[in-house]
Amino acid sequence: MQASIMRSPEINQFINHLNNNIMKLLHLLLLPFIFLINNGCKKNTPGTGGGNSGSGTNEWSIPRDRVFDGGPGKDGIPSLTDPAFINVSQATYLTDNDLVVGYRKGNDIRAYAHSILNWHEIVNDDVSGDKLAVVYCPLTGTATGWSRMLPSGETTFGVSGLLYNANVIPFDRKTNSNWSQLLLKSVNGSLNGTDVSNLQVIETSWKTWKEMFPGSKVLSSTTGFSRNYLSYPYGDYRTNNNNVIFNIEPDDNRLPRKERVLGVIKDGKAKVYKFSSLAAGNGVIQDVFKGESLVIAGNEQKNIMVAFEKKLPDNSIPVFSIDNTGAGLLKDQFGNIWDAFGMAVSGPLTGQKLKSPQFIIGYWMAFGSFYPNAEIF
Amino acid sequence: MSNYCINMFIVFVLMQGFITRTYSQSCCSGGVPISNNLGLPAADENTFQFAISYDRNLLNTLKDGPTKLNDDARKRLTHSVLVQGGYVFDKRWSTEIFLSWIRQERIINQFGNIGQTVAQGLGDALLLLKYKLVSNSTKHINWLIGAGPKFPTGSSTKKDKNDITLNADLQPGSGSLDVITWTQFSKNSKRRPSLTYSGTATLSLKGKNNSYLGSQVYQFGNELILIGGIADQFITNKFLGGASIQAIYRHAFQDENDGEKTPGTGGRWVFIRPGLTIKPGRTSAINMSVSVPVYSWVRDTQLTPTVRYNASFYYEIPGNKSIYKSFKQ
Repeated sequence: MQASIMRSPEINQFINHLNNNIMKLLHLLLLPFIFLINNGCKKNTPGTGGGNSGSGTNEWSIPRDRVFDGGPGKDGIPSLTDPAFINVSQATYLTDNDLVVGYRKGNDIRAYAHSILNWHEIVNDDVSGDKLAVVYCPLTGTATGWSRMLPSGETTFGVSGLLYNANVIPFDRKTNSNWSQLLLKSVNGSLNGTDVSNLQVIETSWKTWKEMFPGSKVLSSTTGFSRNYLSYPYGDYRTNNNNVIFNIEPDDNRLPRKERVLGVIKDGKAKVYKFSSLAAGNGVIQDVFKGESLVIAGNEQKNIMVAFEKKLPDNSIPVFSIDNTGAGLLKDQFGNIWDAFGMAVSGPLTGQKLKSPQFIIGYWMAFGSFYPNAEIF
Repeated sequence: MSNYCINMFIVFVLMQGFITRTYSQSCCSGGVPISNNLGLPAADENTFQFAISYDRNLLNTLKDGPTKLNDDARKRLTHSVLVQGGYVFDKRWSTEIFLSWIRQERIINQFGNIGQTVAQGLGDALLLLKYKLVSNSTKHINWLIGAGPKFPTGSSTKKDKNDITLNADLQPGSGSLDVITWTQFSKNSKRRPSLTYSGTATLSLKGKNNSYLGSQVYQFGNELILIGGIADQFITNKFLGGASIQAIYRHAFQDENDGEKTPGTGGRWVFIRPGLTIKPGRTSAINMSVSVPVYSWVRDTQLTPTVRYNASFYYEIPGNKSIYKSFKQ
């Protein structure tokens, strides 16, 4: 049956009405609207203000078209400054599997929980004189320790609200320059090109941390901000490899995007080590990267992995093996026991510290995109 | 007497329109406020209808699930100018078209500094075709249904002053072709004909923006809005007017980004919206309303609506053959 036969006179009448009048109607409706647009858009298009820029220069050393506004805006995610700390026994907001970022200066050992960093991303602290900024990006799962001492003096860092390759772009309040966490340098502003001064942090589970460092301080959940630190703000992002809120380039698929790895960064190159690789070496991986002998040590079950240069403070060459007693992580043939920060906690070199290469723990996708063709151990 | 009847009819018509206006509200739907702003009044055959409204939607309440957080440092403000037109073809069929201009503002007052981001421009446009299923003058019942597309006429690629592309929440347009379905039922009281009860349901099925941030596929969450309202009219020595109150339930599903749920989107809200209408002339009216949330549950942590103001001016050209003809020429 043909469609035209099915049409009732009412429908035909309706179609005729529509054909005859719709264009006239559109013209009439558009007149005031066009007036509004012309008078409204001339002044401020594109959008005005807000985002973030360096002081005096808007040049970026990374592709600007790959820098995105994440949504919350500059300082929309409030960084913490001079935070309060509590004892390990008081940190009831943490569960055993929660991750913490650790920093040690002498006997001042501090833990910064991911569950708080997820909401603040940056903690500006002073650890026995070390002006430390713990910078954490929930979208790349990467934590770094930066010195807050710039060439022009002490600063604090804030969250710009911008992202590059899904990675946080902090800004310093001294010069308003923007920095890339994973490129470890300023990428916009008067300090564009300036390298970060690294203060090495480690990362492990709360269970492992409190066993290793029961006398340490822990970031208090009394931050001065009203947040639910018991909840994770990004849904299934941590475990869903398909969930990438902001695209990354290149998207290296040699490993699952969200697999946590340790990446050693040197001279603009990276080499990553998987937790699962630790077992083969009984917790100790010996490797050479960019001409440097390294030791990667840890325990997959304990969710800890760290990197050191394969040389003791007295320049002797160690043979390391895993130590599982108290604060110890490694022991050497000379009777020294070294903790996860590389501090000798017993033995002839007690109180001395191993050197660490620059290393970061985070999602594989971060290393794959920031350090294309990164080596995988 | 005839004038009185006409006036009563117009007030009734205007109140119908007034109580069927709904608005999309969430931290991530500020850019598409027209998508649920449906329902011009019923009118006579061949009537042209126009409305222009200003809508100010403030989101300054931070919530975690159902819990309000004590933090008002972030503010989102959406100003919308909506131009709405309609034409009544006959006793059954009518149509509406929406055009919008949107100004999105993000204001952050933190650490003694105030930062503002603004994006503005043409918003999305919507075409709605309506059909009156039931019109029973004896029982004072009207039931209409409608459907139509929402076109992505608004920009979804606005940048800030530093040439940084803004996210979906701050864009004046959604970048997607959506489908809107709508139905409205109303009934007048037998004892007091000026008293109107009404109910409206709007389902917004969202399409995909296939070029979000250049290469991503973004899809706002589908949205269901249910409204129940009551309206009545009053007469003073100088003008006709009306008052109404509505309860609005809104359910927004989570947005999706490349097929994955976007955290911090979606939720459920209940609003109360009192309103007032003043009719300066026989074919025009001024409507004002304020919406306040009385309940909300948001997924994850979100900025959620605090208060919304709306003011609109309505004008119609009645179904006069000569006017219609003159317009055609």
